Amino acid sequence: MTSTSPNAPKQRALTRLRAEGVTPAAIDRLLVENRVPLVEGSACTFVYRGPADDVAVEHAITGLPRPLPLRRLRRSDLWYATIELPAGSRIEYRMLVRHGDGIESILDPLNPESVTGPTSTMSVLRAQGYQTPWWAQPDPSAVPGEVTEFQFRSRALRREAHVTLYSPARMRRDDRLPLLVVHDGGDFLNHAGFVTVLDNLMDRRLMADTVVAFTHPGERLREYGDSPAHSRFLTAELVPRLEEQMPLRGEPAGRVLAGASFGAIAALSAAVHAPGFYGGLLLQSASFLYTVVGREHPGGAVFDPVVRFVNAVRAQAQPVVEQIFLSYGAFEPAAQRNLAMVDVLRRMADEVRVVEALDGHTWTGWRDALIEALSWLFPGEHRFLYP
Amino acid sequence: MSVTVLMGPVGDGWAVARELIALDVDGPIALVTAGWVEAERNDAHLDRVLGGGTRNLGLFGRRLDILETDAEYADEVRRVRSLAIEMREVYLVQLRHALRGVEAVRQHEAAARRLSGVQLDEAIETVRALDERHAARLQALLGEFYATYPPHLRPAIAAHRDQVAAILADCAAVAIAGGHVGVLTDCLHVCNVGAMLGERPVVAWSSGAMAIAERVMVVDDHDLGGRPDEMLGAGIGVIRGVVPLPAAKSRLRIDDRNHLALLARRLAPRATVLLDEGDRVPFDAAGVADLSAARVVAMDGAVQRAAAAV
Repeated sequence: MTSTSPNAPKQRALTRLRAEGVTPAAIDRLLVENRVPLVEGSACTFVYRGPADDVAVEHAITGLPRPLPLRRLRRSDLWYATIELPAGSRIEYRMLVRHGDGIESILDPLNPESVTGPTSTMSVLRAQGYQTPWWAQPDPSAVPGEVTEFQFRSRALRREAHVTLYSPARMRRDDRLPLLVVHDGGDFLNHAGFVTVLDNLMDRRLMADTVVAFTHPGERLREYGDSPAHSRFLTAELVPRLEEQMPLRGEPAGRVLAGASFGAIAALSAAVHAPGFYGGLLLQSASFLYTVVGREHPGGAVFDPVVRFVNAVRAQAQPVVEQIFLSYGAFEPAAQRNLAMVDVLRRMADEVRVVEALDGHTWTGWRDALIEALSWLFPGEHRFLYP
Repeated sequence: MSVTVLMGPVGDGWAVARELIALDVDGPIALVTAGWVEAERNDAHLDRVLGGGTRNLGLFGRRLDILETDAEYADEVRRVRSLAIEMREVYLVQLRHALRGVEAVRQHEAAARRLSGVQLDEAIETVRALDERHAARLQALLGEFYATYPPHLRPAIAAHRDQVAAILADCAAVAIAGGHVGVLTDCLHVCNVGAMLGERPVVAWSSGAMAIAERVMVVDDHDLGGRPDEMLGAGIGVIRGVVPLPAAKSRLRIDDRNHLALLARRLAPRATVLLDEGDRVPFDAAGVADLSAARVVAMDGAVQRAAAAV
């Protein structure tokens, strides 16, 4: 007779399956009774079922083999690989299934959760403790801000500039609100739920009422790669135009630029081209590519201007803004380069706040860091509310 | 001077009703819910709990009306508000550095295995002086403003003050609810409610308690904006000698004795009183606080009950 203490460590699902016998019926039961991937404490197990010559997990997580091969469980059609993830982690992946010479990249057929980004749809693994934050979910009781579109001819960019504008629900004519300009506006709106985040944070006064301008790039890599023309577009065209038309503060402390990846380079570059004009920067997983010895780098020609820019900044960092918020994904390949830039950024701002998300180079990861970023850069009046 | 009771958060409001019954209030109750800002008039539940027939002074709406009616005054309010914002930004910069100074001295003394002494006292005094200077500067700014634009000479303000006085004349007590402490304090100032209370008992909770004290200290150790505990300025000064800190359990690191000691010393010689749900501090008609059942933060950071009257 066996007895089970309530405090005894639970056997993992695959261990139980092995013990019970790896039969098709037992595998069916396992898949019905468990969420896939299996999340058991810090152990996360990818599972695939079906005929194949090889199965692997395609991902961009530093520290894991790429791709991560799955093993067949005994002689069954169940494949698995277990990794350890810290509590609160979240990763995106796809399955690679090989039949003979053909390799197919597919969403995990056993995992209904996926996320669509600008270029692909990925399956999502939520490790123990990860939850979509409340402020990233639509709240019908939050009064929504107004979203409008406008276009104007940019002389600097030599094209029509399209801007999506968010005006806070409480905005009044006599306000003097801060302005946030977000690069890659379309992607932040579509894949990071930025408007929902703004509505929730402003409704709860965790963030000050703020006008947010989402810009949309033309030739993204050229414009965002330390382009003086793009910096001119922001500093000499877009911001003055908005400050003329909207009830904005119109001073450095009320101007913040935001961007992720290449967009973060565009934001930093504009601030460097106009020191003292902006008060803050929100940089997420910045594409900080630089060289220490020689000029060779792995980024290809498109990164040449970025490397020149980052090298110059590293060589002679000057104060350009008051606050810099930097977040990056702990699992992304660029994590170390972002961390290595922190000391440089400290020379460029009075205050620097760094947040490491347990995620990769993803829109959801960037979204999940927004509460810390926005409530630090635009502190709200929540602390004055005593119900 | 009236009998006053300060309370922490009151949840559904029944604790307020009990206080008013204990005070033997006979007559309508004047409500101040200006801290609820746009939701000021959503007071049906509170009215029901307090027995019905309450009279909301509508201070938030009155302030809005004054700003819409008196354009010159509104422009000047905006100018003064901008100056106050700038003053606060500089104060917060200074405060952060001064607080780092306190921590640096404390850590230095700890590393040297010395008891914190006069140097720590000096560092804390720097912070305390900064708080007081900020409050004084804000008061001077407002004083100058009111001297240039005497509120009682502005027809819109005078009319609202008369109406508030008329409502209060019919009321036997005043209940001041929580909400946005800055807005509430401003509304109480504009309508000069402090001067109209007379002998009526006052029950004030959460930010209501903060706003009627001499000093308003905002604390939030979990502030996502990373702002330090800050002196917001002067309250309307109906009660003296005590600075209430409502919702202390959720806002303060209660087990951090150094932190509490720093707060108490910043607010000295006034007593720092923690007001959570169930806490109350009564003041008699002479304005003397009965702290016998209150939780008072001592200068060493200990939270004490049964302190002597202030």
